[in-house]
Amino acid sequence: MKLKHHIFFLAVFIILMGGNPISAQEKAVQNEYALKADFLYRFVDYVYWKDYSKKQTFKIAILEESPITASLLNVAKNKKIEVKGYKNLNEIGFCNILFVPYNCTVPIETILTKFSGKPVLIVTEQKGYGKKGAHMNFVYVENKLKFEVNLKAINKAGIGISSFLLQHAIIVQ
Amino acid sequence: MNLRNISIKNKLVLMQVFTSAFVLGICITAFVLIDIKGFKDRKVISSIAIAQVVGFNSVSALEFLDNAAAKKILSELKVQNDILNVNILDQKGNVFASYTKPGSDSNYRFAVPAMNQKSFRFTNENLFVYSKIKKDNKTIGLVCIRFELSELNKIKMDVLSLGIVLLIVGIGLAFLIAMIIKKYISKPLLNLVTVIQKIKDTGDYKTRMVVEGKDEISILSVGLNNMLENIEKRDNEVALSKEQLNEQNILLQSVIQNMGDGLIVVDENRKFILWNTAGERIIGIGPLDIPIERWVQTYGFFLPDTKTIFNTDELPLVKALNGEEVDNMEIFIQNYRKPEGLFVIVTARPLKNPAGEITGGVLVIHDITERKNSETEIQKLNEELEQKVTERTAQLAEAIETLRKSEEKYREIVENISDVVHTSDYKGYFTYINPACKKLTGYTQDELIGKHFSELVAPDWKDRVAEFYLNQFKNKIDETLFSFPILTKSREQKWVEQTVMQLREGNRITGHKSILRDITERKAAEQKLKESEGQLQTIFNEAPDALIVINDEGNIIRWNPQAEKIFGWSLMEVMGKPMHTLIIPEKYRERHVKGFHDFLITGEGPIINKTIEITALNKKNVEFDVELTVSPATILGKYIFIAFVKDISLRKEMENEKIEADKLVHLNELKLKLILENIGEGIIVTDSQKRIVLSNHMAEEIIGIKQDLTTPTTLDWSTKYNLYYPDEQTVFPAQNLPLDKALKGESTDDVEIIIEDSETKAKKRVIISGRPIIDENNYVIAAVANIKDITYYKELEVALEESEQKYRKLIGFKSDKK
Repeated sequence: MKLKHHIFFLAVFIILMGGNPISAQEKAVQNEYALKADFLYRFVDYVYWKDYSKKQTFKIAILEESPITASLLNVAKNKKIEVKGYKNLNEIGFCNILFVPYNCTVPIETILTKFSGKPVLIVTEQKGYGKKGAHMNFVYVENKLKFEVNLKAINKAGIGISSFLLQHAIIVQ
Repeated sequence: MNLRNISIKNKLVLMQVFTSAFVLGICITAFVLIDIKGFKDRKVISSIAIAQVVGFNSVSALEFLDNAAAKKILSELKVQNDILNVNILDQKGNVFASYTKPGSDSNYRFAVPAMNQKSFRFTNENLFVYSKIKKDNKTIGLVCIRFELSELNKIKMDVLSLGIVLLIVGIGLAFLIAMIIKKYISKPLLNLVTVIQKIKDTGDYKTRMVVEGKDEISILSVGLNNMLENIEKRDNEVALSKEQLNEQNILLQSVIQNMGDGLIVVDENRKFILWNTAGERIIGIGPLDIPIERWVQTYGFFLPDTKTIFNTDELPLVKALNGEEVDNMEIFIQNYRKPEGLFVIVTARPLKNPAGEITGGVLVIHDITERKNSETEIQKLNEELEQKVTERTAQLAEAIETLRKSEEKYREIVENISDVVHTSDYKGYFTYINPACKKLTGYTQDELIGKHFSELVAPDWKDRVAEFYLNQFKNKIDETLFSFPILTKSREQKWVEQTVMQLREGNRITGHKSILRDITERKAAEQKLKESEGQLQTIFNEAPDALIVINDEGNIIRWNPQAEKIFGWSLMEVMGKPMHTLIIPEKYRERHVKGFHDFLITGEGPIINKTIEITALNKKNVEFDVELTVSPATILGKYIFIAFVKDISLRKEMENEKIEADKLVHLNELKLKLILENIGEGIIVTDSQKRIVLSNHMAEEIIGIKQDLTTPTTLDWSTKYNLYYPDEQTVFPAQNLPLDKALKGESTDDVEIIIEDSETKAKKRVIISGRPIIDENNYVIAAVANIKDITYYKELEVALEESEQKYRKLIGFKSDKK
């Protein structure tokens, strides 16, 4: 009888574990974006925006839907940082960082054109975007999160970047 | 080993070496410790800096999870040789990156301390440093570094070896310096010790320290020198005082041994410690070691009654030992050495030390046997003296009688003198003239007094007389004899011979005393003699003495046969020759010539008209005694001198014999006088005028009178003394004194009188006896008084009074006998 119970519970547990593969995948995505959110915040300390004073509210804009928004909001709770998601590119006014998720419908060139010459750090997560002209681009190297920096683009945008940050970055152009 | 026994120089060296070693040790230790601590501090600071730099550089690596970057940073630490391991730990404590020095343990695991702990930790071999990696005040990791401390150990070894070397060098130097310095400290000290040791061994306090420099040792040396000087000085003084003491001792010993009185000293144990020779002589026995109880028996001490033996406790010396003083106690001593016995007077005194304790006794013994004998002797002498005085008194009476007779004779002569005696003032005016003038000059006394002497002189002689006397006056010649004629009241010429004596007061002539003698008859006789020259010649030749006449030139003009006989020269041999070359001895000649010439000028000579005894020479040139009288005369205005010479050599011899006899008599008299002077009784003999003619020394001592040989003293002692009866109160009448009574013809015996000196108030008790001396006509011509001072006797005790009684009886008996 008892053994039967044990076996039951074990069976339930196995079912529960194995029976929810989608939720497990979701958790991994969450962790990925939490890390990316942390990275984004950390970039603030190593990047210098033209005409930006510390008194101003730091603005992070996310184009279209991304799990990063939730993570950023979670991190930004204690900080004087405004995190906002935009569905339309044209809605975005001024911001310090613009995150462009991998599944963004707006072509990267459009975004780059829009913010060309403006001190807005454009961060992407699509392989090859770095070379395309995104200021920073998250990549996975050997299963480890790394980021590419397009120094040419950044300099053009009038944004300075610390050497500390650069030593961890993969310089693309 | 006892530290005290180490010599000072070694102590000094030890002290210096130990002090230096100790100080150096402390210094080096401190130096090492400070060095290590400094090293550690610096190490910690630099290590922490390294850790912090590493941490700071790793911030971004940690933030962007870049292990490779972190590792790369760490790999840069390889230049720091002493870093063994470095780990960077992430927030969760996992090793984020690590570095390991090649050859070190790569798997080293850091023990992660709590985050609030100190950021470094030393172990013996390693230093662990931890530094937090912070980002926005949030700890995001930890840097852990392990250093090896080989460098510290190396430094430790270096410093330690340097310290040891320094210590050794320092000690060596200290030793060297101590060795050098000790010369300046210990050498003088050792010198001092040597000198003191030398003085101790030799006792030579003349040794002195050589003083160098001015440090304490020099002061010590100077002090020692001063001390030595003082000791030497004191030594000398002690030696000197010892010598003096010794001298004094010898002197004292000699005094004690030579003193006439016996001196006996006993100590507190009744042992004789001194017994001088006089003591032994008097007692007859020297000190014997016998107990005090046997002294009386052995030495034979008796009471003055010579029979009762002394009680031991009554002995003066025993009394003195008991602290009493005994003065002049009379004791009779009789023992087997002195069987005849003797009287002594003893005085005893206790000897006391400065604390007043009796330490012995002194006894002084004075032998009074002699005094006792003298008393007996004096008694005998008194008896003899009584006898002598009686005899002497008789002699005296005789002498006084002789004197009285001669006086009578003189008075008769004076009264019946026929010569005129007169005095005149210095100008020659008569001040006095005796009645004989009437007979000579015819003038009475009254007629002549006040007149000038020259008024009497015959007119044709006046000038000559005046010249003669002027000469006497001018030359102050005491006495002159001059013959000249005078005119009497009846104008009759008379020859006179005048002797004029000058009266003087000091050097001034106040007048003259003159005798004028009528020589008219003599002149007439002379004239007659001249007339009968032949007769004269006969007389001349028959004269019993030698007669020599010389003229005023000193040549012999007469020489009688007697002169021939005495001198041996014949008349023919001497006529016309100078007399002095013939008969005057060489020694008188000069005086003679001078006297002769003087006389011719002054009319006066020392031998003129005097009979003198002198010596003369005979033809055989033999000197013999003569009696010489020279008389001058004038013949026809010229002097001649007549010398009468008598050979007295025979008589002279007899005279010398007589003088010898007289001397003997005189000596006897002196002896008598000596006895008189030494008897214990005063003897005074006075004449009827109460003038003292004889007194002895005792009389002078008792009543202070003295026999003056030149001016007789009148005995009147009632003015000098107050006289009392023996009761010392009733006044004794002076007329009742035995001497006064004796002058009235009464004999008095033993009147006791108290005489008190009216000046000093000293009282004397005397006994006086008086007796008159009566001549054959029952006149009192003198008185004798015996005075005896009995003050001393009165003060004697009963025993002596008894003897005095006896004495008085004796005196009384003698007086009765007389």
